[in-house]
Amino acid sequence: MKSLKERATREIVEVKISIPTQDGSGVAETIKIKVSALRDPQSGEIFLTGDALKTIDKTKARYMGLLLPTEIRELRERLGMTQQKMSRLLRIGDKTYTRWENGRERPSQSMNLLLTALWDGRLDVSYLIHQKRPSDGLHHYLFHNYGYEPVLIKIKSKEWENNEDETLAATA
Amino acid sequence: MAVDYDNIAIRNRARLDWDATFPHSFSCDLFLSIGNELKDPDIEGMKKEMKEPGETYEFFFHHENRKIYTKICLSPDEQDIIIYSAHPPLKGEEL
Repeated sequence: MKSLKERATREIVEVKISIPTQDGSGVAETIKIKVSALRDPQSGEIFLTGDALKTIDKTKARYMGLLLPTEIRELRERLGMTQQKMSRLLRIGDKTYTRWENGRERPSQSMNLLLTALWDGRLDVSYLIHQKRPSDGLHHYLFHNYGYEPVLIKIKSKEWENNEDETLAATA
Repeated sequence: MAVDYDNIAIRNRARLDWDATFPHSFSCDLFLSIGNELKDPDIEGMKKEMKEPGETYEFFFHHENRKIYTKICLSPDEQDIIIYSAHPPLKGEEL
């Protein structure tokens, strides 16, 4: 018997997509879109492959106001940044952006709003870069002058904290 | 591991079942959860005889703390996967 890819015929079919309620527990509405799919002549069954599945996921994500993991990676690449730099820029954990790109975690609704604004070009990344942390002039300085060295910053901050503790202890 | 859509075919019935069970999830979540389960060295499945060339297995995987039944076929060249089923167990907890 030939494989599915070899024996199937390609045709345009209408598929249903469930759009969830705000809390994600149920279906708010069902939409229909047309995609290219494989029909198995043996069983008559419809099978969906790469591009159709991407289209379905992207359509669903748009209705939900979300970016897909592939789009989260594309956004970072478009901005020419590393995962670590994106994490620092968005003030999230070092590995969080990586987990979003891998699909292991999904951004919160508020963070997704920010990502979507960057994706749509409604928010300039330089705006975020210029947001100075209230307690950390060093971050800002290094970001602009030396291309941002988070590890260095962490070490420096720690040293500073330790020194301060020692100074306070000595004073006491 | 990034999600790769290109070597996967899913029966539309299975996609609809997945969509109905997890309305807020995507196809890529299904692939990721199956992929994670397949990394488990203790995974247990049952081989199924199918006309489709390749090897077909049924097994359970977990997504959002729910046990999900799936049946997948790995092509003879081990490059393509067909997902036939992805839904909560309908015939009990055993395969």
